[in-house]
Formats: sequence, C-alpha cells, structure tokens
Amino acid sequence: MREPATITELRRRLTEIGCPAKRTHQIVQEVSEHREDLKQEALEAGRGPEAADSFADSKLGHVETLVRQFTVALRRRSCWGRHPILTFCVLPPIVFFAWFPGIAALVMWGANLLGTGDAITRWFLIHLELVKVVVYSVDYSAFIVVPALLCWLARRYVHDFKWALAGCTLSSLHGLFHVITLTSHNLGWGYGLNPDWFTVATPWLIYGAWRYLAVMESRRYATSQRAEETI
Amino acid sequence: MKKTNPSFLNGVPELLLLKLLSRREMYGYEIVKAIQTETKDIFTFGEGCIYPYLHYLEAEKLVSSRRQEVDGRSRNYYQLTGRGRKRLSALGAEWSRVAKGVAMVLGGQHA
Repeated sequence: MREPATITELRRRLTEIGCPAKRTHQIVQEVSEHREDLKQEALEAGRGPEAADSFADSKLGHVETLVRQFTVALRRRSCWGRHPILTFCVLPPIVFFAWFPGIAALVMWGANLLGTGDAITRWFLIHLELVKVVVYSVDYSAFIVVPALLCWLARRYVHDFKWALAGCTLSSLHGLFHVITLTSHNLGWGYGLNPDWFTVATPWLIYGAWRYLAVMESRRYATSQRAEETI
Repeated sequence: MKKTNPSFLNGVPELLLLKLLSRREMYGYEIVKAIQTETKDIFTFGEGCIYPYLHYLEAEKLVSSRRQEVDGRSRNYYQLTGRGRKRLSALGAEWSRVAKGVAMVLGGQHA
C-alpha cells in the first residue's frame, strides 16, 4: 500500500532536519497509526475514502507544526539540547582545557593503582621519543573527539548545522593558537602563534565529513522514496 | 488556520496526559479522544501534537511505552511510571493552587 503524502512529507522533513533514523521511524510509525485510526473513524461515519483521507490529514495537523514540536521535544530531552550556546560554544573550550591534564591524571591514577606509576615515569624519562608520540597522540585526539562529539550532539538534539559549524570553528581556532613544547624533562602547554595545521584542519574535516554523510543520507532516502513511488 | 490555545496553558498538556495515563495505559489516539470527550472539545490542537509531548514524558521517565498488538493492529501503549505519579501529584497540587488564586481574582474575592 502506498504511503499517504502527509506521512511521506513528515518522514522527509524529519530526515532533512537531521532527526536520527531510529527516532524518525518511531515518530512516523506512531503518527501513521494515528492517521489510520482517524481515517477509520471518518469511514465509519460514512465518508468516502478521499474525504476520509482529507479528514485524517486535517485532524492530524500541519506537518511543519508537527516537525517543529518534535524538534522542541527532542531538544528538551537534555541540557545539551536546551542550551545550544552552552553545548557548542562553552563546552569545546572546557573540554580542550581539561583534555590533556584529565587524560594524564587518569593514566597516572591507573598506573598508581596497578603499582606501576614509578616504573612508567622512569621509562618515559628514558624514552623521550615515545613521550613525544604519546603527548601528540593525546593532544591530537582532542581535535578528533571534540568536533565529532559536537556533530553527534547536533544530530542527536536536532540542532541546526550552523551550531555544529560554530563549535568546529571554535575547535579550529583553539587548534590555531594552542602550542605544545616538549623538551627533555619539560612539557609546555599554552597559547601562541605557531600553528599546527593538523589541529587547525581536523575539526573542519570532521564537520565536512559529517555534513557529507547527512546529505548522502537525505539523498539516499529521497532515491528510495522515488523508487517506491515508481513501483 | 487552526486556532491555538493561549500560552498560559503551558504545562497543562503534561498534567492532562499524566492524569489520563494514571487511570490506565492508553495509546495516542485513545488519549486524544479521551481529552476531547472529557473536556467537551475545549482544547483545539492538531492531534499529531500529542506525540512530541508523549516522547518528552517518556524521555523524562514519567511514562513508559510498550508495543502491543490488539485486533491485528500494532499500537504503542503508554503507562505512568512511579516517577510520573509523583510528578502528577505535584503538578495537580500546583494547578489547584493556581486555579484557586485565579478564581479568587476573577470572582472579586479578597483575602
């Protein structure tokens, strides 16, 4: 049976705004069932099939209003959804500041718990090259994790892509000015102008990949819909 | 264009949904019909709008849902949780207090 136009439009709009697929499926399923009940109600009242369809659509409400309300409901689910400024502008600097000392503290805590803290420290003091690899890996990982987290949050809470872009831009700016200096027995972490292009470009690349995947998903959905209509 | 309810009704849908679900578990269409029958169509809304509220209540763990097949049709039934019951009693008390205050002003009574 062919899907009613209202339901197709609802599904298309939810996909377009970036609503997660599982959630879209749940919403569409429930609204379709409700529409079917309304149609049945109209048919039982003696209306013809077309009039019953119009009745069901008018009682269900306008698709745009529905999408807007679902968006609000999805955002209200957590503070990350309710406060986009906090999520996309305040969260990134905090995570960047906490990332390095946080991971270092976590590793040392774990090592001390296992009783290998002193051994690891001694080993690191001898193998400076290894220290460099670890330090830069930890530092670079922040520039992958934070933008990916922001894009995920934007999708999960159906925020406009501009918010994810703002967050990734902030991450990139942080990457532009933050500097790590590593010499024997001395690790420096601060701000200056000695750009590392990996940290500048990575947030943008992650944002680009995320947008590309979102667009591809919408296109894939549109293609599958056209194929269904042809059948 | 459909008339919408005034903004001071914020929080009322939540109260109505929790109250209806405190009686028995229901699915979306059933809830809408219950609201329409019991309020004698005082509230005007697009019926699909019930679902964002239900999903929000579910996310807040005030209601839970389960899929069930009845008469060959699969439906999503919602029921009140323990947390929902507490919320209902708090909201109900708050609503009674506010309604009493408004009635006093409209009725011209003085403390």
